[in-house]
Amino acid sequence: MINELGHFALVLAFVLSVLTGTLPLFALRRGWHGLAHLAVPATMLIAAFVFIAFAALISAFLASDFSLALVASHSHSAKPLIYKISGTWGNHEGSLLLWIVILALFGALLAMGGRGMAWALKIRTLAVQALISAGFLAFSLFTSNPFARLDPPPVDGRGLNPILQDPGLALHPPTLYLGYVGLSMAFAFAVAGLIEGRIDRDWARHMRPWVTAAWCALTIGIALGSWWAYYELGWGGWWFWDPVENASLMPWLAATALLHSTIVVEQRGTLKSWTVLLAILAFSLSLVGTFIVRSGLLTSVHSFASDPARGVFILGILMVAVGVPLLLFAVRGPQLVSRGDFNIISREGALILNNFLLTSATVVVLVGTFYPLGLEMVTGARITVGPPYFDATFNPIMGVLVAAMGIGPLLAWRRGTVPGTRRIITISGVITVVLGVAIAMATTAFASGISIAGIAGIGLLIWLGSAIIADITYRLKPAKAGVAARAARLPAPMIGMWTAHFGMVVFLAGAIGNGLFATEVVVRAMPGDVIDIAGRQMTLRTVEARQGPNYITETAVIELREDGRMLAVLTPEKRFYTAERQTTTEAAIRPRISGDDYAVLGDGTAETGYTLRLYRKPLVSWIWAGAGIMAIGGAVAGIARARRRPLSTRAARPADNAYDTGSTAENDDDAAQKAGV
Amino acid sequence: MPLSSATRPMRRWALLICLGLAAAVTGAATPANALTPEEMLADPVLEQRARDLSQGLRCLVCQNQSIDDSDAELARDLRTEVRRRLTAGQSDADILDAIRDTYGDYVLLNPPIAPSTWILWAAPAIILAGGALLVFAARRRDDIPDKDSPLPARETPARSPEHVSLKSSVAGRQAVALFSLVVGCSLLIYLALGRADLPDRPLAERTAEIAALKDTAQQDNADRVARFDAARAAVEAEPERVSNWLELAMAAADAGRSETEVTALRQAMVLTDDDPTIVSMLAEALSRAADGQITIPARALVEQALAANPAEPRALFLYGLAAYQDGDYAAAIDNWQQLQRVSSADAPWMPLLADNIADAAAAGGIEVPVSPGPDAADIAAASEMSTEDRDAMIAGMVDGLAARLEDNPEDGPGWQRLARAYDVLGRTEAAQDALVSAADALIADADAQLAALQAIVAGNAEDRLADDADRLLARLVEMAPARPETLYLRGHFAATNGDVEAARAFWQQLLDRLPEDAPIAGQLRAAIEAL
Amino acid sequence: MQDRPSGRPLRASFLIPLVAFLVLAGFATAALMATLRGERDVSQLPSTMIGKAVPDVVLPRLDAEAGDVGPAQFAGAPLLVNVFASWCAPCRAEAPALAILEEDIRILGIAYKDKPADTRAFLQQYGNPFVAIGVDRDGAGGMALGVYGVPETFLLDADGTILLRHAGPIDRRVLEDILLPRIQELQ
Repeated sequence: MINELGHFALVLAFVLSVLTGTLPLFALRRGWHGLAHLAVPATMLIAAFVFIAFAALISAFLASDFSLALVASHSHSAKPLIYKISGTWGNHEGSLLLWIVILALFGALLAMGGRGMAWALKIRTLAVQALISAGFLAFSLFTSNPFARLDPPPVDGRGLNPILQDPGLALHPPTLYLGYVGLSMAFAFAVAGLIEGRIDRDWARHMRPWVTAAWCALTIGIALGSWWAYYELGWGGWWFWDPVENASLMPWLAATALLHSTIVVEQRGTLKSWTVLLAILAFSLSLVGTFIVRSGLLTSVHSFASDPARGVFILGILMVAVGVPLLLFAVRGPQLVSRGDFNIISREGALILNNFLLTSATVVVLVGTFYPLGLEMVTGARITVGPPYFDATFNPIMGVLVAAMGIGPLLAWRRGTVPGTRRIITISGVITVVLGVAIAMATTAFASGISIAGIAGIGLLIWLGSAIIADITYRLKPAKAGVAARAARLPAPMIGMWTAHFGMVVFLAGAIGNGLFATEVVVRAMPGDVIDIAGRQMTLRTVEARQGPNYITETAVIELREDGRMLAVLTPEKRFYTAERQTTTEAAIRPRISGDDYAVLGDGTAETGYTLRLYRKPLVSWIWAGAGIMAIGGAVAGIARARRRPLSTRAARPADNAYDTGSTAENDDDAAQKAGV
Repeated sequence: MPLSSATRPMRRWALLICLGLAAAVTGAATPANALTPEEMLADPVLEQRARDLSQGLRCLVCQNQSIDDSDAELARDLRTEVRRRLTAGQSDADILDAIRDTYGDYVLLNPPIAPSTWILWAAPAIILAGGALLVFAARRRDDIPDKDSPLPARETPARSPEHVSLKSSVAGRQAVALFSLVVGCSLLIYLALGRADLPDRPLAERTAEIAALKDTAQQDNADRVARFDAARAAVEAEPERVSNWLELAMAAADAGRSETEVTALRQAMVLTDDDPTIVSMLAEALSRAADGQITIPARALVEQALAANPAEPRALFLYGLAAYQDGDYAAAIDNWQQLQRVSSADAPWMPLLADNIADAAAAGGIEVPVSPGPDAADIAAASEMSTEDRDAMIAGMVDGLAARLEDNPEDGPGWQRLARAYDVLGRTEAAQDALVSAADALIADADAQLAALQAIVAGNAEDRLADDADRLLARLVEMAPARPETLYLRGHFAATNGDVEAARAFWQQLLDRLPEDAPIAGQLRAAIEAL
Repeated sequence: MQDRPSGRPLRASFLIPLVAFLVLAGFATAALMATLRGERDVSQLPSTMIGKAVPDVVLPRLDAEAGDVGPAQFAGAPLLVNVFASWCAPCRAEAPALAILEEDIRILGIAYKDKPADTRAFLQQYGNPFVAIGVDRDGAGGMALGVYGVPETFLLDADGTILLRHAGPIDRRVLEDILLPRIQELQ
């Protein structure tokens, strides 16, 4: 009865969500506080029911209960345990349920926590969150029911698409969804704030942890997806500007902007309407992303679950979930009062520039992604907007952003340059120019010349790196206390910011290193052949047949040597999954900090030789390491902030750093001075 | 006659298109064989240009890959084409132009600057400029110090009031109401969606059942093989027996060996000199081998069978199916209704046929036309009307049918329906004539001959239709010499013609074959006596 | 804006996001509706060849001794060029449609990347509606025509100008709504 129990729990969650999304809003308007308060326990109940449903589905996958249509079509009795579990969300219905689970989890967290938060804001936020849940639960129950049954059950399942049987992809969707759904919390805050007509610093303070958490999860989720594409698709690429990838990049860009603008609202009480808009947009963009993936409207390498009929339902949700809040914003937004007395050269100014650039980049990606569709609808012509377009438009904008990242953190709130800022800028500028010229010359020497974009990239990388280091050294420069003492007093949010920005440096180093200096060799090799690649020797020893748990493989054994010294044995595979009757390739990768050695086995026989694609990819793993460092930085800043006491109780205390300059207008100047000096 | 369910109409075309697309998709998902060493050019400079060009060209059949990354056939062809042109000395721009000429802008990953992409390429500038304008406009606005900063917030308690608790604020009755609302709605929805009647079926608990299923499948398979082998042995032993070939064909069909099935049926066709039943069986076998599609060669066979016997049921069925597959739903319904009319009501394929007609009607958006001519239902309906109305209605239907049959005298079943209608109207002679026409149309149908002859005898029309009776009786004797009815009728007509000896001989023959206590045995004896 | 009333009017700039969203949603709706009605198919690409003269494709005939064949040989009357292959499932599906078309127009077959023996077996099983068949072993002929998948069908007028291209199998809708009317127009 577990299956039907799970099904019933899902229905209960749906009905409760509908009630929780409507009754409390109505009750608040009428002043029925008791009824409104029910939103809190109801949210917990929804979470409980959704968890029961999800647990039931996982248990069905674990038990290979093929009387569930979903299990029958996406699992197989011979599948390894981890993929039986990850098979739960490796499909449309299950991933939708996972999305709902995370939505419910976040709702419950807010219901249980949210201490010190304005009571009515909390109730309204929970109600909006419940409305989102209701939409997705309806979508799940009425168009993509994970608990649809088969009678009689088949003897065995059809298996999980082999390309999805992978540890990276087992984790990729859950983290990505954590990010998307975390943004739904910001969205709920924004809509609740608009309904209430009050957006203030307290609002921003309570929303920020959610934004930070969502941003960290999105960063990791996207990095996992990119990493997966890098080693599983076997092209050695890590970003393809595919609609589905863009669908996850756009919310990330918007979330990054939101993360920064929330700081402004929290610290300075300005940029309110803009932050509300960003909060709505960030989640809307993740809905748009889901829509792209599920509707099959745009062609993508990743479209494993597309169905136009479902697209209609998502489009409906999208219209309501995005259209109504944007309408609300158009009506209520102008009423949100901002205080705007700051100089353009100031922390506010820098953060506005940050938001301006990030939003522009988001819109460019949006236009590039949807332009072919729009053009087709208007003129019927079909065009492709591929990587070259994004390289030419998105990259320069991000370049300016990286340049600004070097300066922004040095500026104080409200006005003017901090004494010393100019010196820092000068120092890092000089380092940049000198190193940039040196590297450009060096590289022209051994590569056949590097594009202007490449040189600019290297320059930016050094600029940002040296600006961060200069900033840190400056703040640690001993005055009275020693370096250690000053370091100990550094505010955690600032450490978080440095870490996150430094992650960007690492990421850029990886992208540029791999982009400019990668080597690729495609050969047909016989066993015994030695192939030179970037100063290393790869020897194809043999190609042999092996047996995996639910597949058979052709495995090449390749010895990797440098100057005769054996570094590793690479074993790229071609797998044939017997249940699914599909072939996949598994690249063999030797990841090192200095770069990856990457080998792919293609077609061939012992007589004709085998096609091998071999790569040397310098610094490539820095791409994902950089993303990881960014996420860690975000988490550090977020946790530090979450542990602070509520604003109201420390209003009189002067702040001790530029990030957290006090809470009232009176001590702003004072704080800025202290932070700067 | 087993009409295999494999020939049920399906939206075959749609299905095959889907399969084609699925192949394209999985093609995209199994990568890594993109560029092969054989394709590469020896000259590293040219090869590098080829790689750069390839990375800017989209693989048209894949989902967003460059031809350099794709292992699709078309991508390979395009890579080869790029290299061929490079070797021929063409410039990069020439090559891109040539490929764009053939495949259109879609093939270029870098959208060309053209009127259709002006907005696209201008977008970043527009966005940046527009954004900057908005920022400055907003800043100017915000520069105005906001002295009286009116917070338009509605007054609500800032903190959760301590006294708010479920007990005090929501009355018990309200709570019960809410609770029952939630549970009630949920139950309603669940009952519509859920399957509370189905238990969980974890694999671990199904070992016995699955083993049994596998056993049965194996057993079935063994049986099929045995039957097939036996049939083949029989054919080898007695290749001249048609029934052996037919058995082999059926065994082969059962075992999924369509080639043998087709060969066996062709052999049977030769042996029976193109018997329409076997011809249409062959058509069915060919269609099954083509995944259910009534192929052109199969259609030719169907037409051949129908030419030999317009009432051949399997051929009629396939003919309808062919029309269905062409999307000509009206014709499909027509043919299948024809089959309904020539079949007895309890024929095994009648339910399938009704399903198919409903299917075709739904697919074509057609209201199933009332089968032409009066059928049993019409007549039943007519019997409830007043006498005059009824006669008028039947007369109308009958005239229409009769006129149509004049133009189309091969429609045996039509004649039979007409005869029934005349019978109802009491026009006995006309009914007899219609039955004779039916028998002439259904020349190979013993029952049709019999029906006409019985009507002649029952209506004492032996003299009026003496020639027709002779012809029909001859056919009946040919087809069914041993049937009791045949013997009786031969005796009867012999007696009518005055050939007492012959009559006595036929009836005696019949009498010998009847059980002693058969009720008509006595009558027959009396008749023999009377001669 | 010197003194702001408490109920302030709508500001145009606050409407931008809503308008942008509605435009986007409009495109998405239009595309989705077209997809559901079966009018839009992402796998269908418009051909650049329409209105141009058919490329000079010359291929060996399937019946080997008979020499070469190409669309140019059929100038003077309309021609349908059908690119097919025995390994292509949708090509089987369109065989009956081609048989219907055969009565109205001559059809030149191009056996795309197919072994002649397989092609013959295919024709045996599904019927042969072609006046002649060119063997395109390496796909060069298909490439000249801009073929990106089989089956594809081109309609040429008497001068050899490509009037119409259909990618994918000819189903009932394509046959009756697109091909037959254009062919009748030509005659």
